[in-house]
Amino acid sequence: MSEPYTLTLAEMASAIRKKELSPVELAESLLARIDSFESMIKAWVTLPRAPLLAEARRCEQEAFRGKFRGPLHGVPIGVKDIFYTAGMRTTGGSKIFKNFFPDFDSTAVARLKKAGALILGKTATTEFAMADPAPTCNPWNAAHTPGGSSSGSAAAVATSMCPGALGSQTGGSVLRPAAFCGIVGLKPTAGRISRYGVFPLAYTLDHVGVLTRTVEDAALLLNPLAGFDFHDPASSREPVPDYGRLLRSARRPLRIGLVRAFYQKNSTKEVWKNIEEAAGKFSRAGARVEEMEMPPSFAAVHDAHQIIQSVEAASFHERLFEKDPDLYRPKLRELIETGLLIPGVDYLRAQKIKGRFRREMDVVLRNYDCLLSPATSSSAPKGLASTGNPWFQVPWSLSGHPTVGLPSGLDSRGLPLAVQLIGGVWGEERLLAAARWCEEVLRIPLYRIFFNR
Amino acid sequence: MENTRCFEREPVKKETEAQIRQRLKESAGRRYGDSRAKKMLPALRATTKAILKTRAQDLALEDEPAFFIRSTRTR
Repeated sequence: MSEPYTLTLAEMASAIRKKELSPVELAESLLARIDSFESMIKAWVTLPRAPLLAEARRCEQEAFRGKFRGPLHGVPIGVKDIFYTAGMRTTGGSKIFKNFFPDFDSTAVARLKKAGALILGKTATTEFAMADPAPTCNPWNAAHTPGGSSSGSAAAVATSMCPGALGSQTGGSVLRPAAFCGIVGLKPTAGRISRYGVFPLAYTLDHVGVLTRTVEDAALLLNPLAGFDFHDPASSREPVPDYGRLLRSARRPLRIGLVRAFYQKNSTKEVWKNIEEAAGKFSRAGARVEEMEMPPSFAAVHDAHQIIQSVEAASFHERLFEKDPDLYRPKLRELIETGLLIPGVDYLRAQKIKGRFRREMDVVLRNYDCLLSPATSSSAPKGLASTGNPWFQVPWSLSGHPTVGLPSGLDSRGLPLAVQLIGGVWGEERLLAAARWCEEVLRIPLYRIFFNR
Repeated sequence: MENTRCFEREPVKKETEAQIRQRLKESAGRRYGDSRAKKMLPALRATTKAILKTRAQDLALEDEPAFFIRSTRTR
């Protein structure tokens, strides 16, 4: 068998179930991988090795007895450091919570554990998932940002330090780092995964998402995470299908809508050339790719997002901020200070625009299996002072439509490029099936290219 | 006759970009001090533009704030 760390999440889970791979062997392989890369990448903030290995040994003994906790039995997963983990330090990337040990798990973490996953450790995040960067570097070129805010999760998955990780997206914090690091990012429909026990950035924009190396792995992680949670008022009672099973019966995406206007104008030439090449490949493989127009409310989506994010971040942080503003880093501080000044009527108008845009997009999406755009306006920018621009993901964080980011090539500097697929609300199974099809057509598994560098 | 002027209805004027910016700047000054408010000017300009652009959207009376996506199933 290949080195365990090279396996995909699906392959790891399957090999453990067939007793071809021991959870202890897998955990040790991932820890060795971390030892090789961590000093350069800085993806982890907490890495409790002894408890991980002890839990892996328990999983191993259970597997010997034919007992499996769930579909992810013995598979270690990375968790962004804004998710509460019982007894494990949870800093939110902030000095304020530098010694915070929650006494309960966030719902997402609890559900992963119930499915048999092991918590490998906590991955680096920007401060409270906003824009003040983590120290993490891009695995493809350490002088470049890995993106944010799920910086450590993306870098850890891209370097195969773990097969999958939890992330969150309020603006572009799952798909952007996934794109910059050359892996798959999934942001499901708002309300699909509970946000309970996750530090909020903006209550009505926050999504829990996953970062993996393949679409199949994203579906496997979504399965246990999705579903209603009494503790989260935004979580949905929509039925949760078996995403993995539906993926295996993937049908060809018949119609793909290429979003041109805003995206072409704001893309580098190299990014737009890449998306046209991808669209050409999909078309030649049998998909019907046609350009589509965005509805009128698109003109104000970035502004509405900015207002909502500022006000809601200010609402969450107000008391902590008043107590000690100097503990906040500059970008989040400015966001909070600005949010505290915005009139309520302007905030509610932004929420109305959010509703209008969602309804208008629902109508547009009836005509397509998915929409297609570049995932980011450029490849990962140089420097670690910024995590890049979230503009290309913001519309879908505002509307709540599910999105998948897929690697689509390398630019002239050898940095990853990616496409963004957008689906209808609650339509993750259809979107993932389309993404799987696109993945097979593109055949650009950047994580395998990374192994051979 | 002059007294009737106070019953004439003045149209409600829309705030201009400069007025919104000034109002935000003054609020920032009162809350965080003038020195901090001055440093916040680029952010206040961006917020002013965002407010203006959202105000320019033609929303219907029936449009409601959309905090969360409504499930198609009742709770």
